[in-house]
Amino acid sequence: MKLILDLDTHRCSACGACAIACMDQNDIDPRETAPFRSAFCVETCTGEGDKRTYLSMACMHCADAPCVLACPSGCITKDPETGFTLCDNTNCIGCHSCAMACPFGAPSFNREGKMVKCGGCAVRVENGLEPACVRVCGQHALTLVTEEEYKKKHLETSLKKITDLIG
Amino acid sequence: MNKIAVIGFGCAAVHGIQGMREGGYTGEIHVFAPVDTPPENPMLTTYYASGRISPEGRYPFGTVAELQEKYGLTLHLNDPVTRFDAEAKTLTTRSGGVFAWDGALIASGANPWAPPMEGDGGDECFPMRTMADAQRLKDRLAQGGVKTALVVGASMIGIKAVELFVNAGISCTLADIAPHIFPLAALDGTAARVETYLREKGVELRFNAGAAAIGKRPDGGYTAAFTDGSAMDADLIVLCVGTRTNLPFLIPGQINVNRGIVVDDHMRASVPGVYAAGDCCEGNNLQSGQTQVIGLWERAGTQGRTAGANLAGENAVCDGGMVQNITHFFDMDFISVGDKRLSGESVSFTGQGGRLYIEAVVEAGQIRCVNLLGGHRISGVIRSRLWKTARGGARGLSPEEIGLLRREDVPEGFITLLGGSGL
Repeated sequence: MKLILDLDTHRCSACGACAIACMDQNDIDPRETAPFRSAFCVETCTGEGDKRTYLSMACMHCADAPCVLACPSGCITKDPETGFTLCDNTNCIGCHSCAMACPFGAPSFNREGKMVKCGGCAVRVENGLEPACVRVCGQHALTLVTEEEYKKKHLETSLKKITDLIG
Repeated sequence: MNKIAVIGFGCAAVHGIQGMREGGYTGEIHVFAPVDTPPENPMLTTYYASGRISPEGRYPFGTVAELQEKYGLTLHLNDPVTRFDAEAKTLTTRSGGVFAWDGALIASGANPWAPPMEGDGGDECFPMRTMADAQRLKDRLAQGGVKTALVVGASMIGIKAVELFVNAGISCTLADIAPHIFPLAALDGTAARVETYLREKGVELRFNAGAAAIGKRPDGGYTAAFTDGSAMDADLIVLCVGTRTNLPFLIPGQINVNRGIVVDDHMRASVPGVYAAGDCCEGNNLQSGQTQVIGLWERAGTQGRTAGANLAGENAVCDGGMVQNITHFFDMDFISVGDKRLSGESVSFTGQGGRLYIEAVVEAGQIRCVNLLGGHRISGVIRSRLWKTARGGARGLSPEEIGLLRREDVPEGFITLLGGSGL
């Protein structure tokens, strides 16, 4: 059952609770490791006036994730059950090739220089829990849905569509 | 199709095999390789020699037995192909065996290359391409007594060899016949910064100085003479000058070969039934529209997978690639995307309080080539953007892309240049 971590950008206020929950869940000290998830507001000027977009971004768990092929050490794999993009950094050499492959700036690197990133809170999910970021989202902007559920949702408001960015 | 020959057992070969099986091909797959070791990644050699990865970490695809079982392979290891007849659809191996095939994937990679050099020490230099090379260097360092090292070739592998020696307390010199470091990738301003940084790390740099001769000294060391007339002694010399495609088995005139086997966007060679992928082939350069050997791990995988799928009867396309590099050394990232030979105006930016340096070549408002020092977290956004531009599908940056760039304190001027209109 493929899972998708989805974001409804109309509900998101970029409050950052998801990013804090993620750091707590994954024991990230932001002074030495960039957080896996970040929330921000982007102001752009369109022909119809200023526009604010509120976002919460982490690994998009792309179906055909470019980081998988890019990793020279074979550290990154797709979980056949959930579709999450997972990393076993035992053999990570810290070359940053995965970062260069990722259009979403998702890979982070720990104190040892090894890649770490959002793993979809796979252990929580296996045990019937929501990912930490989803659980804490007061606006219910972040959701974990099955592929079938996702297809039923209105794609216009979904951050998932930006996976089309992958060249 | 019931018998496919795969020549080579590296990244492109493994992904090709995977593409065949995932594409539904159930026939025989015969793999021919000159060694009996698992598929390797040349990029990992210096990491293994330095101890950064364990022996188990040398082989990113696992063991030979695992691959054989996973994909149902018939292996012809330690038995390289010596003659490949594309018209008769046969190949001959070193042991004298003749094998008839229905389809073939040539993924024989590239070998290290060095210019002709005088002297009796050249054969004892260390190339850095295979795990056997890495093991040899590792063993030599373990013997001790290496106080000085010379690395010839200011390449991505060369810089990692330099880092290895400096971290081991070995006095290191880096030499190249080019005038600057990373001659195929670094723009002038970026190269100057990298060179300053390396000198601060204690690395001696010799540019415009190719190796002309390497002679043995009575004490077991070597003397290298350079093309600029200078010379130096070193206890150990590593050659990272470059590579050449490994295609000695082709019959001249049968398959269209330039520097590598010329392939189309389906990874087809000029003879039906023959595909090529990886470092031995020339695929499309999206920027120039010309075919070119682009020796990148990710490209080899994509090309291999495409070739394999098509050998299985699918209609997969690999429209090409771009020249790109990333290397991380002494806590510095050097990142390059795009062909530095393309002309244009040079612009530069700094961000993150000076920790990020961006240099770009711009033509008609489009970035043709960009270098980054630092900034690996934005490199993917930039790479994706340049690939889209090269494919003709570029539009303004999305809010997500703009947000990611701002998150990393990228100068607004560069974001605008990259396509962030309407900021």
